[in-house]
Formats: sequence, structure tokens, C-alpha cells
Amino acid sequence: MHSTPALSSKAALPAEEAPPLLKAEDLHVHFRTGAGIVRAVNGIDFTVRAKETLGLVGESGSGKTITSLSLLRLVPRPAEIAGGRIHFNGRDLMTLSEREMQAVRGKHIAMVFQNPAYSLNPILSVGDQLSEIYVWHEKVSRQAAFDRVAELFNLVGITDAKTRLRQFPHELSGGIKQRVCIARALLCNPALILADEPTTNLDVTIQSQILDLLDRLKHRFGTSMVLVTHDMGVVARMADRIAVMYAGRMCEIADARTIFHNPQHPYTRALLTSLPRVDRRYSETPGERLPVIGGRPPNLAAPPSGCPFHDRCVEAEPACQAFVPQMTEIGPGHAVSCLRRGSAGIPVQ
Amino acid sequence: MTLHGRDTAGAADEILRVDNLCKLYPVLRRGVFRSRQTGTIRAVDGVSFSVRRGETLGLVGESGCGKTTTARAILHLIEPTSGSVHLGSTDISEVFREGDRPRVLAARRQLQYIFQDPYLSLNPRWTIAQTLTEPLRVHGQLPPDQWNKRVVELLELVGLEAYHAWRYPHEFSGGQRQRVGIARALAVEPDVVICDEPVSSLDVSVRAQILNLLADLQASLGLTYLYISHDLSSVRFISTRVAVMYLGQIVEIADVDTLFERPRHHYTYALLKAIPVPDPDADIGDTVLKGEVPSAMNVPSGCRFHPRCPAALPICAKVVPELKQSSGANHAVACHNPRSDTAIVRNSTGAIA
Repeated sequence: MHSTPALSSKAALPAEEAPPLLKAEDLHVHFRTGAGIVRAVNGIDFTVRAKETLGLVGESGSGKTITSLSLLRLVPRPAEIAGGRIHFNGRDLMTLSEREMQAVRGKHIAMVFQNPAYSLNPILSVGDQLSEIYVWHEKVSRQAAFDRVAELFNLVGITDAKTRLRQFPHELSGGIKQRVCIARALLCNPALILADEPTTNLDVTIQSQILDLLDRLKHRFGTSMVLVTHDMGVVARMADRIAVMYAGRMCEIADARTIFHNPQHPYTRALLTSLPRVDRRYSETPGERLPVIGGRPPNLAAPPSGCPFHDRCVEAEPACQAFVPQMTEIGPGHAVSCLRRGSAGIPVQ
Repeated sequence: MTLHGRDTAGAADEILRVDNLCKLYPVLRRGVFRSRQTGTIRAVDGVSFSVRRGETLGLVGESGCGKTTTARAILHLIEPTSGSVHLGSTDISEVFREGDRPRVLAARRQLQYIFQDPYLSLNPRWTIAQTLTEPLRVHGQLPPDQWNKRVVELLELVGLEAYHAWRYPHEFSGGQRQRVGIARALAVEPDVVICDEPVSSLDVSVRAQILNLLADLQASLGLTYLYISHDLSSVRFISTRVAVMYLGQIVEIADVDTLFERPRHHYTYALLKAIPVPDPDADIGDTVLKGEVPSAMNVPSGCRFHPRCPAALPICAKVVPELKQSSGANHAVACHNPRSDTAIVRNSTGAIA
């Protein structure tokens, strides 16, 4: 349907006119469980433009991590990609062989995982495991690969790179491990980095350092990024556009300013207002309570019918149970799936 | 030594007082025949504070700063190396050390604990009713024929329903499990509840529910909280006063608004500035704090923060700063060269300018 021309990565076109770097269409990921099929990702579409950061926001179970993993076709068993197309660099990643896919992973699309401790091999020195990747993709000598890793260590702010290369993950602090993982993602100059909660396990002061680093690297190399997070503060700082997910579906997608200053989906609004703020004096109003989202996160094995958010939504009307709202554009680059905002709905069978 | 760092909250209504609490772990090098101590980890090193009846003292700091160790040492879940803890007029550290069961139980009845992870802190093989009757059985306050009534009361208190009593923890969501954890802590009608990161493992949409519940329970039952967290926004919401810990010591303690608006310790300021503000127009500027927290095995000399401090003076490497009253009342800071006592400036987005 779309024939995306091969990407010239440093195209100077304005973001809107440039062809998207990545376009996911009607993505479905299913878990086959004893209790039936769990639709962890249930028909979502989005694009990632060159040089932009797309924030993927949602709670646990919203499908944000599975979405990012499915872009690399790395969804863990018993999950499987049940449908959809992923256009990247003029190819549909879904049609590639496993061998071809391996050549994409780490070279064109790289990943930074949530827990750096689990995503590094504990029995190889960090220099060994990173250079191995570079040797495999770029077919260079081991020495050249080590030099490249050392160069990246300097770039990501790891001092004394030569010593660090010989160290094992357990000898490094959490912050340094995450820097190693970022260096690993940058090894082959990928066009796109998928970062899944890259700072969730880190302390705020270290988080701030890592976000600074990601920001700097993004600008320097013009890398696009998909940033998966549940932290509205982190996404506000990093993302150009934000997609909000709930129960495997997309609620709202827009540029970051619109999401924060003019959110339309009731879930987006509730997410933004339910957080306590560090710059508010709560002591002056002792009886004050935080606005809450009632109910509890949906059970994906038996999701609510219609709009998955309707049972927790303050604006729900009977139609919300009977129709599944579809993502509908309501402003330039701003799409929302909510019947109350004029989205189209498909009747529930 | 004894009184260094005591903050002087009004002594009259103080309910919990911690004096010079220390927890040191020996670092051993194991040999074939014997082990040799090669170092000491100073997890909690001379922490003193007091909590007034009905207030919430927030205890904040980064991982490894000793906030959880402090909480557990207060309850004697970890035996403190030294220091004392007074609950009302009783020295409970003494009570726990002597181990006289009726007195230990009496102390534990007054001082309960809510754990961070509601997935790990409930027995998976017990129904919620069993979990909630266990404290009633241990403390023997209520005759057994009233236990069921009490369980239902407790469930309703935390916003659950009576029929939940017959379910098992795996049937609940994280937020509901944390409600059970809260109900269990309240079963014996404690005066003081230590909340150790009670919302950190919960989803964003459920966090506000639990924070509101804690605030409601405090208002209706007159509870006193020691609220431990690394999440400064929830601390701002729930606390009356806040203490900031760094490497096993309290570096600053003040009323919540004073601490968030006029912090005097450079570490407190750096922490506040590092919080990402939920507004894309926020200009955060540069990260103030470079480097990482040093190991608690090799604490820096003098002020433990001096190697990372932007305002360190030569004296900071030599002399340990005492936690002493700053200009404002109820504001104590341990710093040789504190920030001036002016409000930090936030722009319209809420970011620190």
C-alpha cells in the first residue's frame, strides 16, 4: 500500500514532509494462554519520523513494551505477532527472514532495555560483548572493534574507557551499566533506537544524567528514538511526539505540547492530573486529595467491551460500551480514539 | 557525639524519637581458618530525628542512602549497631534487645510497617482473611469470635469488600494487594506506621488512590507516618516534614514547604532540580550533580557529599558538618557552606530556573 522510498538518513526536509523512518500499521500481538487469547497489542498504527523521538506512554499491561519489541520481532513466547506491517527503510520487516532480521537488529534498529543488569551478559567483559556485536555486523577485526567500543565509551561519558573494557557487568554501577547499554545501541550508528524505560531503575540524579546523555547523542547523530515510559516527566523532557496506550490500543497521539497542554482523551487527562506535583503546596489544603482514576487496570484476558477505558472513564456514555472507538484525526497531527471527541466507532460484535 | 544532629521538634508531642541510630556491617575477608574484617559498611551512621504525633515525616534519598535500613532498624527487623529509639516514653530499642515477649509485642502493636512490594509481602498460600487474622492471633487483643467482624471492618476501611476476605493474593491487582498490606498494618490499631515506598511498585493510575487512602486514614485514625520514598512528588503530597538522607546520614530536615522551596543543602537542591517536570516547555538546564554516590564502604572524609558538591570549601573535606538549626525554625542542615536562605525560582512550567 505504501511504497516508502529508501531513506536518505540526513534528509533536510521538514519533519512533516519527510517520509517516515518507520511506519507500523495495524499491529497485533497475541499471547496464547490457557485462558484464551490475550490481545496485548490490538491493532495500533504509528509512524516515527527521521530525527524525532516518539514517546510511548502507558501503564504496565498497556502493551507499550510489547509494541517496541514487536518492531524488532523480538516478542517473547508465548506471544506472537498476529498481524500488521512494519515499514522501515522501504522494506516490510514482517516479510524478512530471521537471518535478514538479525542484520537489522543492532545495526539499523537498536534497543536499550529497562534493566541494564539483565541485558548484559554477566560472564563476558563489557568490551568483549560489545565488540562481538560490532565484528558481526561490520565484519571488522577484533582490534578495530575494541577501538570503536572505547570511542563510544568516551562518547557516553564513561571515563577511563580502556580499563572499563575489561570489566564485567557486576563491577559496574547501575548508571555506568546503562551507559554501556547506550554505547552498545550506538555501535553501528542505527537510524532508530528503541529505549524501553531506560531510566526507570535509576536514581533521579543518575536519571537526569542519562537523559542529558540521550538528548545530546540524539542531536549529534540525528538518531530517531522510540522512548517507552510510564513517567510523564521523562517523556515531557525527551519526546517530540507522544502516543498514549491503554489496554493494547492507542488512545491519543499528538506532538508533546498538545498532549500536555490540550489533551483530549479522558485517559490522557486523568494520567496528567493524578500525579502529585513537586511545585504545589499541599500543606495549605490539608483535606485535599489527588484526582484519581477509579477502578483498576484492565484484565486483558477479559477486556471491557467497546472502549477499553469506559469502565474507569468519567465521561463514559452507554455508546462507549457498544462501540470500539477508532483513532480519528481531530487536528493537525493529533488523533484520538474517543466517541466523546467525535471518533468513529465500530459496533461490538 | 550523642546529640549531634538531633533536630529539635517540639518535645511535648513527639511520639517517635530516634537518637544516633547506627547500623554498620562488617566487611569480611574469609580465610580457610578464620575471617578477617577488612572494612565497614556504614549503612546508617548516626541518624537522629523525631516525629510528632499525627504528622508525616518523609524520609527521602537515593537507593543505598540507608532509608530502608533506618526504618527496619527502628522496628528491630534489623538489629541496630547502636543508638536508641523512643516510642512515647518507652525506649523500644531496649525492649527489643531484652526480648521480653509481652513488651516486644506491645511495642510492635504501636509501630507497624507497610512494605514496598505488595507481591512479596503477602503469603501466597493464605487467604486475605488468614493474613488479616494473623496479627489478631499473635497479639491476642480480640477474642477469636470477633476476628471475622474485625477482618470485614479492616477490608472496608481500606476500600475493599467483605467477599475479598476469601480470596488469595494472586487474585488481586497490585493496588488491591497494597490495600491488604495497609489493612494488615492497621489490624492492631498502631499509633505509628512506617510506610516503606508504599506506592513505588504501583501503576501511575493506582498510585493516587493509595496516596489518598493513606491521607484519609491518617485524618480519620490520627495515625503518625514515617513515609520513606525516593519519589519526591508523593513526598510533597503526603508529608508534613521531610528529612533528606545521603550516604547513611541526614543532611537536611525541614517542614515540607520549606524543604521544597528553600532547600539549603546543595544535595537537596540537586535532587529537586533532577526531577523531570511534566511539561515539554520546561527548560531544565544542566544537570547539577556529576558522578555517582560513593560506596558506603569508603565514605569520603569530612562532609560525605563534598566530592560531588558544587560549593565545597577546603574545610568540607576535613570536618564533618553537624546537623544544626538554620535560620528558619524547624529547619536543620548539615553543611559548612549552605545555599542562601532564598526561595528557589520556578518558571511557569514548574521547572527550577
